[in-house]
Amino acid sequence: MNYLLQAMPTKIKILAAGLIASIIIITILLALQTNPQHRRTSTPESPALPLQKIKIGEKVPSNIENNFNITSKEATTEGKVIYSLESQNAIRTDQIITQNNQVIFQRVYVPESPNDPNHLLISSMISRYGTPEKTIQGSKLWGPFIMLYIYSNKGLAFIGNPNTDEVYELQTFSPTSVDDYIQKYGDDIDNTPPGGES
Amino acid sequence: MVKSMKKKLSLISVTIFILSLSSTAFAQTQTTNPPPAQPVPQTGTSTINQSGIQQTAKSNNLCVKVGEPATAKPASCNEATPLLSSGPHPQAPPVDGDLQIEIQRQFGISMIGGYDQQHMQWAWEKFWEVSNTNFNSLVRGSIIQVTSVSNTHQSACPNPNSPSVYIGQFPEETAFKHILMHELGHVIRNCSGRERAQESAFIQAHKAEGGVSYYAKNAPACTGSDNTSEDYAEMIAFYLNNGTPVASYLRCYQQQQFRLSPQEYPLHFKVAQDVLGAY
Repeated sequence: MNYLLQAMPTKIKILAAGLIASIIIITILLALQTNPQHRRTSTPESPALPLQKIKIGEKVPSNIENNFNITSKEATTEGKVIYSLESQNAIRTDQIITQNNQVIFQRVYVPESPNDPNHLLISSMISRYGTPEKTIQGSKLWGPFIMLYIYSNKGLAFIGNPNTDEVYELQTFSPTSVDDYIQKYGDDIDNTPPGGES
Repeated sequence: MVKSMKKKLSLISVTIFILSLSSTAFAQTQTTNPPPAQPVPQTGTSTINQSGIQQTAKSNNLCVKVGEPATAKPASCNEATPLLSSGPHPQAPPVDGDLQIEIQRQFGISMIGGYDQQHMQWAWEKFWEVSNTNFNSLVRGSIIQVTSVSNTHQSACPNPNSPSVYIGQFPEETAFKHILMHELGHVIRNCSGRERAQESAFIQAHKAEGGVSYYAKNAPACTGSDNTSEDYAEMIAFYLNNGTPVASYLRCYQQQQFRLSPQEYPLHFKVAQDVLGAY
């Protein structure tokens, strides 16, 4: 091997080293691209969580009604427009809310298959975003064991099942206070005292 | 010499490059295209309930038209008859020893707090009866604690330290067996993961067909619970009903109800079948 290296002209040595280095770099880049853990670690403010259909604070695109499989549209008296989107969840569909021509809220049903690259775990969300500002137990749709994790100053909340570590629904919105979040978007919170399933 | 070295080097580099590309592509395929989940196979011996088959055959006997019968068929044949057993179910073998120990040994379920012998026997029979489905593997590890009838509820997922369900000693056999399946049905939905519990398909079924029983349609008024949760538990319990009517005196069971009907609730039936397997 040493003999071979010595016999090689310097140009070829440089060429070979360059080639090996570029292979390593390309391999690392490809591996990072295909690693689902990596894909899940973006902040909600960036367009990033792959589930997010649109960025909070963005201007409402003119083609919104064609691009997002919108099933219904409702204008409120406060000047908001609530778009319901096609979703795997037939009862609580995905949603985008706009106000003054800006996106202020969206919620997305998280795929239930653990093998789906967009499947999310509560533990990985907490390790990414830290301790939530507030958690509330009890969901109108999913029952008394389900928990809402609120990071209102980060503009993030999610609904999940602590027993299975699964995130069921992801919400992003313009950063606000916990109380304001609950008042505006806490429609799934079950206010009956936490108990079991009858 | 230099030329051949150049050739060899470039050949090796290209090979390494292709190998690294294909291994990354393989890793990606593994992440995005998993093999479909297989139902959990059931093991263990079972005795076929011959009397169930005979009873079903007998009840159908008069209504089946063979050739050109001289007499008209009985009026009862024209009534909507409840679905009887979907087929023979495993029958519980007799137990000489302690039923509590046998239930724990056979099904991994602990019944604690002082259930009487009769209720232990009913639980033993029901767990055997559904042992040809995935039910027992989905609720394995549960601790069932005796309580008053009115306090019956699911409280947690299976764990070794605390009860997952509290069930009262309902005096009627069919009611007790139904409630046993109902409360453990909650365990399946809340503790198995959404994919295993077929959550999205169930939500679709609930939206399209409503609740499968009076209770599943009126849970907030009946017990303060919510319709979606109770509908899931009722779907499991009625799917695993062997054809006997559930007692009408149960709170919020205003009419006798039998097995989950695939004609009336096709979407619910499919969800239950996908979760539990054929019953």
